[in-house]
Amino acid sequence: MTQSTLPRIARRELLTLSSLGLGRIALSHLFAQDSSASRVPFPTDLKARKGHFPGRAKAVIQLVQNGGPSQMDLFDPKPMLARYAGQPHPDGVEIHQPGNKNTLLPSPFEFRKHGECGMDVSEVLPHQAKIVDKLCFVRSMHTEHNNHLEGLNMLLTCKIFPGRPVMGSWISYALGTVNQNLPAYVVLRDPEGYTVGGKQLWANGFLPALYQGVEFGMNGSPVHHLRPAEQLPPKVQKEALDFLGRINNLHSMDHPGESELESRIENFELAARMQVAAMDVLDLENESPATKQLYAVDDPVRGPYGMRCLMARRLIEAGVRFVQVTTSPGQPWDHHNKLKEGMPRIATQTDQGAAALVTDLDKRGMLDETIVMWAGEFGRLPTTQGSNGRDHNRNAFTIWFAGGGFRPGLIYGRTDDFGYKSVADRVSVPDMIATVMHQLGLDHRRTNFPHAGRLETPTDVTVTGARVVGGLLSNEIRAT
Amino acid sequence: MSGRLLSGFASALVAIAVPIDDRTPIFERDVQPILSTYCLTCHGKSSPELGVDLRTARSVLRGGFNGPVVKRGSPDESRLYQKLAQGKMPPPAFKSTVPDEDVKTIRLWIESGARSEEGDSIPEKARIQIARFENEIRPLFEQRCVACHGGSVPQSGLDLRTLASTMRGGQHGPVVLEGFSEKSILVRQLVSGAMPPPDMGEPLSENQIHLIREWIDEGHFADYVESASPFDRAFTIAEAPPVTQQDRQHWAFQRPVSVQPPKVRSRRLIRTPIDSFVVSALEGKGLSLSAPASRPTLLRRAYLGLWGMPPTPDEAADFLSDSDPGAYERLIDRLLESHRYGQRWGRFWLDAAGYVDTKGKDFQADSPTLAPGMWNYRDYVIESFNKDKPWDRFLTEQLAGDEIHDWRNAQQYTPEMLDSLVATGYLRTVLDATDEDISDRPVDRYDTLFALIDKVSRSTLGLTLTCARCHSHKFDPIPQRDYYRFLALLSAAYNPSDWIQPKKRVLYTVSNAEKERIDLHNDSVDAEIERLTAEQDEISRPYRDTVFEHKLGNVPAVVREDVADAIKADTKERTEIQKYLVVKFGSMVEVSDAEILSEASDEDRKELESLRDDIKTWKGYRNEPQQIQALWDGAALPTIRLLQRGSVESPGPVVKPGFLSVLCQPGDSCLATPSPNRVGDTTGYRLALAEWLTSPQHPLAARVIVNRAWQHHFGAGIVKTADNFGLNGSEPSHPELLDWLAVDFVQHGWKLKRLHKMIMLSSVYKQSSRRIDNPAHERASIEDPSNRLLWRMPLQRLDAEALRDSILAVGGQLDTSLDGPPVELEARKDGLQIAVGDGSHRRSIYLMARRTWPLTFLGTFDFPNIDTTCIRRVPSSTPLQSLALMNSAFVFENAASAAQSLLDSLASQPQDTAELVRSAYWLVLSREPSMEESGLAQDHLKTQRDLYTRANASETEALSKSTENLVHMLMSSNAFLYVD
Repeated sequence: MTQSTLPRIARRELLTLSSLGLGRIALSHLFAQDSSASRVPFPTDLKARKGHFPGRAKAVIQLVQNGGPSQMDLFDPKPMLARYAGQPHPDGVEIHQPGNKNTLLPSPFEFRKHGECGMDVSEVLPHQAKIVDKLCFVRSMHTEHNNHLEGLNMLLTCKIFPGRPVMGSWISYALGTVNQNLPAYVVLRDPEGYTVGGKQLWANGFLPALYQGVEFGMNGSPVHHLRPAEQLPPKVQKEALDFLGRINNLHSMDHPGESELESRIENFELAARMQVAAMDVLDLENESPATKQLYAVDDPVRGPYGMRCLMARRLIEAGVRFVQVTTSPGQPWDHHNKLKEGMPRIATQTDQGAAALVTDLDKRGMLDETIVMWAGEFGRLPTTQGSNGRDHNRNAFTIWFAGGGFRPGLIYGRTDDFGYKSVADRVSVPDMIATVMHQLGLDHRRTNFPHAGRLETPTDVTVTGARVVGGLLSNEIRAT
Repeated sequence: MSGRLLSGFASALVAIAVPIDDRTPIFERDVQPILSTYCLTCHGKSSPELGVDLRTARSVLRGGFNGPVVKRGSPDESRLYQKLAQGKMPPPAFKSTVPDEDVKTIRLWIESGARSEEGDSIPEKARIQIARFENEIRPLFEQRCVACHGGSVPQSGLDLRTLASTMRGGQHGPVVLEGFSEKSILVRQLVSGAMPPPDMGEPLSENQIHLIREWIDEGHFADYVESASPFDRAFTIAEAPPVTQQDRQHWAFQRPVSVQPPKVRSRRLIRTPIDSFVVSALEGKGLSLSAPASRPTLLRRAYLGLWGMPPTPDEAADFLSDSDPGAYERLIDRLLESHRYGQRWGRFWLDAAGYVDTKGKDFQADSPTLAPGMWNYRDYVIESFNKDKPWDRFLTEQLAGDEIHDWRNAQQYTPEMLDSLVATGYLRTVLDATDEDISDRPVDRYDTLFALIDKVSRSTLGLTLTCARCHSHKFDPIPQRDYYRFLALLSAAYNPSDWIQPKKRVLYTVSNAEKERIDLHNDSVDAEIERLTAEQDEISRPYRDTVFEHKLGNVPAVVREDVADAIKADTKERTEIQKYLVVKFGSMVEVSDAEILSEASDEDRKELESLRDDIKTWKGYRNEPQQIQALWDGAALPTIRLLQRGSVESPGPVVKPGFLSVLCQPGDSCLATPSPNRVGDTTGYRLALAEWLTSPQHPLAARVIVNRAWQHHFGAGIVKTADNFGLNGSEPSHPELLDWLAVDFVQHGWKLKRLHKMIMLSSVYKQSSRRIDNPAHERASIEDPSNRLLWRMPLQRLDAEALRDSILAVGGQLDTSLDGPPVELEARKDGLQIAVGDGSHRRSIYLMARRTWPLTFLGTFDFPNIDTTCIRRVPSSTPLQSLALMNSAFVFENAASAAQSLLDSLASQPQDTAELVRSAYWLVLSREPSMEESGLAQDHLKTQRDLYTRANASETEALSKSTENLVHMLMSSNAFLYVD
């Protein structure tokens, strides 16, 4: 009784044609000649779409290590620090905070070589040490700012100031997502609180709001307002939504040709499906005890992060495009003092989960199509702050990738003898983003959105000089 | 550079008259250690602030962007010494001062001719690097680059034939940044394959590029190259391309000229001149307006348009029963007269002003950093809209309110004076991150200025100037020079070389003179309080000690003594262990006032009690003036230079304050002079900007605001890109109408309320939004599918605030009171930001405004992240919005209270579901339900009642729950969410 005379799909097509106008139709006809035909300029939905060229990977899990993990205490041992311990750094270093001494501070941790690749990993990361042959390390990262928030903005948006979309937003914008019952871009944060930067770390900037990261709670309701605020008797909500659908359809009949109204009706249907899908993702019933153990989900220290890593895998499995996992609140890798006591704490919280994620993805044959990236906003100084800490250092830090065509077992780039500055095969943060996008089949220079009179891109290549770092990849760089 | 070096040497010749002995300081031995300790964080290798690099004698003598910092032989003329001696460096933020002894050494070093071991020779490492250029890199350039970048007129002014010319760079600035190959333009051009140009053969090989990068990263050559100064030169053609007659032809750069409203065939449609223009354009395509909207539709449109909330059923009934032909006009007058109008339309301007209640980065979800008193600006904006303050005055107060009154010397602020100071809050809402010591550097200061220009230009000029920060605008005739001229206008207040951190950039609601009096008064009050407190301490000490000793007995004996020591130690000097002890045992030995009183003798108790009361009384005498966030000029305009590529590290020629050439008359230099109307000790440049902007001849100011008013009524502006009227913006749909409105607006005193009325009385505004199945609309859908010509009223979604306010209004809970500090939000652990407590039902404009932490409900419905400015919100449609409507406590609560009031009003006939449905429709949607709707709703009520009854609800409960659900669904429906 409330059906429109035209079937919905046909109606929608008609609407699209008429609202875009003839000019656009002719244009899209031209695009059809092009190989990247299916790409619509400036999409405003989450439908899955092709990249600029076939990508090696389909999804990304970003493990953001908030605070600036110390490269020379984790992945980049510097024996020279021990040899010249307590002596001044010959050139002096650029410091950030008061309380710095220009004296070299050796790492308090033991290093050993691991795997066939012989990667050095410190004793605080025993689990990651076991999987080094699956990881692709970049020791020659560098960034632009020595302050946390600026560094985080840079890591995620290629610029130090706020207001730009993060890479997760760009990627969901460019590729959409396969499972329409879940968001394209999910953030798994510690339910105890936000890390420094808060929501800015998944902000859509000038992209439409639907490309913002959606925070999934780890217990209770994963999405805000997923469950009614009031407990309702059975069927009450279902009946109510049926009624809503009927009056909305009547309204639409009164306003034919308004595509927005249609999309809103669909959204209510989608919201209802999301209520089921999101709860399903949270349900660990079907995970084997072995898997739960792999991620240490029951361990009081390792469990919370492990749980988020496991959830990340489940979300990717369910077709989510981009998952961002944060550490415990604050900036837990920020060891201005008591490096020796502080670092093992956060290392222990995160090590097993991160390693389990890579192992698990690999075991399930998903690693090839999933990029896992582990990165903080900057590194730390080889010199001493206070009596036993290290200050921020934008000139060098180490990150790793796994899967998605990043060369396993690779140790890329080099820092100087004290680990102060990247000296060989330097990789900038914009390079890193360009390379991840490349593996997803996206040309970072052609992924764009109009903003304030300009076509903005994720890397703003004319300013940042971002390039795809072929040396990190096991596949060729696509001619773009 | 050579110029400066030469003058340095020249002064050396005259200055080395001071006798040299062993005590004469030498740079490496005596000065370098001092500079390394205190200065190199900022003036070291990778970030020499303002170009001042203090690592070597050579770099110290070279000076920075603003000239030399050392004049050999003359410490008093040397800025290095001056800054240290005056304690200006290191910046106070760093909390370290150079000891007098060391300052004296530096004085002596300069006095004695600034000697160094290195002398003027070139060190070994530099020699190697220079040779490397000659032997390895120059041949490469010869082979691949100098065909263009050489000869008498090198391309882009870039000459790659010698190291000196390479280092000098081209017309866009330097191309090699020592130590940073990835930031060097030369490398970027090679890596991206832009150079050599594709038609000039293969790109350079990886190895060749690697060679160049390695050389640059290795460094140690730039200091030893004699090249001309990169600044103190004329503007290049790229920095200041002439603005041609052709450039000025773009419609938006020409004065609006008003033409007679055109004659149309359907004369009966013409209610206001707006109709003539719109109908004429429609008739040109063989189209016409749609039928008039129904009166209930029009009523709801007008309420939501001017107030952002629907009419109450009573208000609706009043209007609909008034059949007088003037009823609608009176309705508009009434809506415009209410303070709710300012609460709605003020919000639009707050978007444009990028309003936030916070200062700095404000990155913590649960602890906002508030800018004290910022909210006064919000209230000023609302009041200005309510008073219909002329727009030119409104802009002037915001840009230069501090320059139109002599507030500095006022004994007491007049209300106008205070208002005008508060108005400059407009210039204070951009992100200024310099409160944090580490981010109070020139680069951060300039970021604030850049953000400000972005905001001011987009919100008042409708142009995006920001491109011209780095290079002359690619689309609009805006030379890069003009960008920095514009920046210079603001630089006496936001002075990058004499910066005021936001925490210190405050004024009070009282005048300086009054503040001084208050401070004096408070000082004497404090002195009295201090005296009384000392007396109190004196009397209570023995009793305190007794109680303390007694309590100490509860502390484990092993640590008893240590705890006592820790408690007695100065809080600042406690050791780590002592701090721990205080945390652990402090509460056990804490002595309360009550305990002292009970221990005291009768006499002392009386004395203590009376002292306590006296102190309380005296504290009440303190006077705490409120802060406001305002902007005012410092002593003088600083030297502002064009920044090559927008980088603080690459300054170019000096610019003078000025406006945009393309908006000035041909032949006019377009430079600014201080406004003769300035009052008080201020430069008058911002007032000059305001006067230029609000001059009746200005091509843009009036058009821009008229267009935005149009946008808020019709969903899109006459110029759709409301923040970009430039060549890359969209063409106006009705150019003549836009001009007519702009001219009319200015002629009638820049009054917005008059404009609203003219728009709302037009037939264009009053037409229906529905697309009907008839030949006229069929034709219109083909001719003008996007409805740019307005053959029907566009359907519009409620924006975030209108939606929240409307839900509260329907729930009968909306608090529309005016003014005051922002309503605090609670950051819940699950990430929700919700309004709680007293103010939680206030209109959305009064909720705390934060850059990235809005109320979750508002954020879900596209409340913007405040970056610099938001000129147009783009409504999105997401399932999260559906979930918020379906499930949020906020909607549940308001549905419940709405249902309660419905049932209360129908208490006499609770079983009349038809009437209940009818009332619900009037309450939520301000109209009668259709027959079909009424039927569906009644069925729904019955189904819901059954479901509740089945779940063992009482009859009353089932009735109220089902009613609640009906209201809830109506509030979630498209009919509620859209204005038609």
